[in-house]
Amino acid sequence: MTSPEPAPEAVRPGPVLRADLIIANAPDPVFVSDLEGKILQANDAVSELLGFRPDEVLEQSLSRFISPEETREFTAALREVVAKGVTRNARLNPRTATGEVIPTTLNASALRDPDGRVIGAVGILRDMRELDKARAYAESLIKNAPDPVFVSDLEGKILQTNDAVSQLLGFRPDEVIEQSLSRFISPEETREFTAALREVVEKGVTRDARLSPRTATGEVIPTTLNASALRDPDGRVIGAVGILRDMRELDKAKEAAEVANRAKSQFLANVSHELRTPLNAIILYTELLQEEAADQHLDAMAPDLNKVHAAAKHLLALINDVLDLSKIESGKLELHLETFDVPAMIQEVVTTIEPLAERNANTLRIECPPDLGTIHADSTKVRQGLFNLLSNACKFTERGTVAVRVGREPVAGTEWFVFEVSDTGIGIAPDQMDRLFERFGQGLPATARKYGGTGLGLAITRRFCQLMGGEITVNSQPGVGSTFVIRLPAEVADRPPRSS
Amino acid sequence: MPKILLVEDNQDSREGLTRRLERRGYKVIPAGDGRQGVELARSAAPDLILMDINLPVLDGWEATRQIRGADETRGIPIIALTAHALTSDRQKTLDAGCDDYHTKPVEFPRLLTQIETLLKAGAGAAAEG
Repeated sequence: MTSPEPAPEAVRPGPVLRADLIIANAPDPVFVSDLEGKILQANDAVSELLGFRPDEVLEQSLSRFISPEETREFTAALREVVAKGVTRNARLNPRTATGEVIPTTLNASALRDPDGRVIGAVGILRDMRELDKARAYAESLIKNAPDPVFVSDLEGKILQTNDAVSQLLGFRPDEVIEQSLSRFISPEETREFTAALREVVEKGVTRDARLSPRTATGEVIPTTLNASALRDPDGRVIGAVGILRDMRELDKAKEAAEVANRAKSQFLANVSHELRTPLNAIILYTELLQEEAADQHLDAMAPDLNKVHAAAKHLLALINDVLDLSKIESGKLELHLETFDVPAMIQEVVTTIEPLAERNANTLRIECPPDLGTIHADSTKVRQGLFNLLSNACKFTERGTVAVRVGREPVAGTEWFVFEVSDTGIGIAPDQMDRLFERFGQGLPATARKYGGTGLGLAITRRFCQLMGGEITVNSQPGVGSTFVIRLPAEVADRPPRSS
Repeated sequence: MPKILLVEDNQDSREGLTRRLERRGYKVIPAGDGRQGVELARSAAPDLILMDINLPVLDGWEATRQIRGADETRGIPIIALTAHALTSDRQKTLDAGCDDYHTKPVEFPRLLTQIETLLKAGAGAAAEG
């Protein structure tokens, strides 16, 4: 009796499973009870959970720690253990030494004697406080979300909704839950919603599907739906969590913005029109003075009068550009299509541009075969576009060459005219290329001061080209020169002005 | 000396253009609105009409239609003075019965060419008829 314990290695061939040790060391609360519910063994985790010492728990009936209703549930669980050998997810809420009630779930399996008879149960409790909190948190997230949120299964049946859904649709939650979402939308939108659910299954998410659910009062509300996958613990998609966004305000705001934008364009158009009346008088009388000064040989006045005249013309160009742009932006720009001879048009534009080319001592080179033929387009806009490119080329080139090349080019059965304007001027820095065709996109403020111009010419030219179904592109190298290319279909298709 | 009826409501523009035309040897009859324009077209029998479009009382389109509608003024050539290149306006002016249009501000040398061309065509037609 007093002899020391033999070394385990000496007598045991290998590790032996000792159930009591496994239970004692388990991190989860584990207990053993008999079939009446008397606790025969409990581990430290049980003591910790309940706040009782082990000796206060052992030999006690479990019913001491739970309510009478739960005792009935526990008795039923024990019966299930006897019958099936196992019970799962019974809810027990034991009360601790300090009186706190702790939500737990109980999984239990049968304890058998060597003959296989069930003599008790091994129960594992699971503290549900964190999980319950998380679930309550998730539910409150949905419930209190300011946007309408719903959970549906893969057939589109609504499983859960929040207050915002009720508010939006005017239905009580119980009128919505267990209903198919298709009840609230049109058949076409049901197809769209089905497609959205498919996308959720395939990609885990769908964005900006447009749904217009009908409310209890029959109003149709424009919304967008963003939905993400609802997955089971194995990661399978079992439904969707959808967030609806009421688009009424946004649609209204968008409409208001469009109205305001049109009003702005109209205002610009009116203002530029009003500005031009006195400006026309300034130009007219300056020209009259120029004529009279010439008649009376008042040569000393000529330079000053020329400056007044040039400034007035520049101001007029600015106003006209602003007017053009406001017409473009208000969608009022119309195409006036006619068939005209391209070489003749080029000759006219070149005649207009010659004085500008001479001013910077540039050589003007024209390559336009006289038999190039006709184009069906808006001649004013083609001229204006070419004039813009040519006046830019002349302005940004000194003692260099400004060249116009015009040709035809069939592309996939369509005949195109290609107008190329190249110069040997200052060129355009790569970082300025992006803004080139934007309003007031003129390279640098210093550029605008030195060379003048409205900064609107290229923006207008691009819009003209686009309106005629064509395009404008540019290639440039700083210090070497720039090449602008306008491509227009030989037969420009008419299009109605954008209506609002 | 060819007579030109200038229908223009802006006094500065009217007087300035009158002086410039007179310097080139034309006699100018000024009118300040569309109705005056129609009346003077009949009573003063001009050789050509310069017609502003934005006019009080009667706008340039309606004035042109009335001038075209009356036998004694039907044949007078009319050049519309239009605002900046609104293509629809330009088409409208020609549809209303104008023979030509000129976008303001006036480019005087070009306007003179237009006037001379129409006067010459009118004289030719008169000689034939």
